[in-house]
Amino acid sequence: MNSVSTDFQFFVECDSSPFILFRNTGKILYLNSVAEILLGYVNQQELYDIAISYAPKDFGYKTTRLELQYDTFSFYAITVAYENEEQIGLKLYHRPRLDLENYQEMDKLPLTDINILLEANIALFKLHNGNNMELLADQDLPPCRIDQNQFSKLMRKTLHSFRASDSIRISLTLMVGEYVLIRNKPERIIQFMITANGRYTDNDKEIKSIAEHTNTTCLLKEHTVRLQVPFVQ
Amino acid sequence: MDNQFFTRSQKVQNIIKGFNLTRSLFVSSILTGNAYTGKKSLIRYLFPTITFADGRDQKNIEQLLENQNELVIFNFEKLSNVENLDFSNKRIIAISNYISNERTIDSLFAFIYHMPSLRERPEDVVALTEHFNREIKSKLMIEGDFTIDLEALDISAETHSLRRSLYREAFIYSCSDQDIKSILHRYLYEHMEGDSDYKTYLPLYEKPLIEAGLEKFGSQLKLSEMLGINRNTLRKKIHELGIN
Repeated sequence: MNSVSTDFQFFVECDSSPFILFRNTGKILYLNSVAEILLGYVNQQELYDIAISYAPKDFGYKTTRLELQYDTFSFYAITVAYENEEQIGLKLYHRPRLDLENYQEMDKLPLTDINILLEANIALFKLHNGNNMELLADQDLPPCRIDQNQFSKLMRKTLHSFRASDSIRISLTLMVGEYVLIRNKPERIIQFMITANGRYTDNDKEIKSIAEHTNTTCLLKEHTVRLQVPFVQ
Repeated sequence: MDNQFFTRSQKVQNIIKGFNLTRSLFVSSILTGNAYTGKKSLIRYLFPTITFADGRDQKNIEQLLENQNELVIFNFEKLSNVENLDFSNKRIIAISNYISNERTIDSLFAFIYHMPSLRERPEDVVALTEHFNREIKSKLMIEGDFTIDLEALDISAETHSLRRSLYREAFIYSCSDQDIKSILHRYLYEHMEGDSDYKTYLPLYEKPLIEAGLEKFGSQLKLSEMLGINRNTLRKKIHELGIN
């Protein structure tokens, strides 16, 4: 076999699994784009410590099943590899985000302008509440397949949990570098996020239940709710 | 079918905005509120081509839901077993005079709107009064404008009582001497039973006469002069008739 010089960095860059290459001091030499996002939620030292703790005893690589949760990132395994004393690489494997069984029906769902759903829900919320609102939405989002009724309910319930908040920030964006595998096809993810100075949690159980039935990942925090939906076209 | 809808209320405008935003979506919405607040007129105005079905006919509703992907259900509160209805991927608009089970409504509908009563939208009372007046003038063939006693407007049963009170005002305005005589004639004919009827029915003329006179002339002295009766007689009549 002829040896061919190839730059693999591009392929690592496209990978939806975070990859970080550390120097032996803990300093980062390289990280792909999804790892860059991950570092918004976890300290790099913590990841370096994990790499050291789960490194193979000798040069080479070792994959370990390990449950890790950072904000909405949920990993089920890591691979740590090194071939010299200077550098050590860590790759984290996403937990399958959703139950694939649920996707069977997605093709039957109507193509939806999710911005319209959001706008209608904001209009409904404003009928009863006078809270200040700031909206950041990507108006160019193309239509996607979504259960309009259930997702509207989910938005209504979520917004309702912020009914007493002074100032509400809402964003609707296509996530960068994050994918979900649906029938072996990576699909992008839309994130609907609401942040305020506080919120009621009385509807959380119901929000989680509706989210489960709409292929939506939800993250409920004290000041923030994130709903992440597969962007299936 | 008359597909007009009148509103100057911001609250109702916001409901219209909500419905307009979701008109292309397959979502379920419900509009609740007192009877005669204009819910059905509003939905008919916004969705003139969608089939309307009465919630009192359960079988028909179930059949329509199987065959159609958009439907307006009025008298929704009359439907039973609503939790078993399948609204998924359909455009359903329900109209209900009240919510019998809040949890069920909450789980069935993505969008829940409440139509404010006329008390909460005085601007609409003005708009509707103008609209009904045009209708009344045309139907009763009244020429020229007539003054409405705003205090006589009744919104206790929303547009239903408002319209009725306006018809009554219009009728009172347009009554001729002959109409009044005919009304009294008919009333007395039906009610006289021959037991001190003169004493019983005389207040029918005397009370409005004295009340109107007092309102117009301001004092008992002036009124007694205008009526050509003794001041003491007038005072006695006022007492007998219980006029304040």
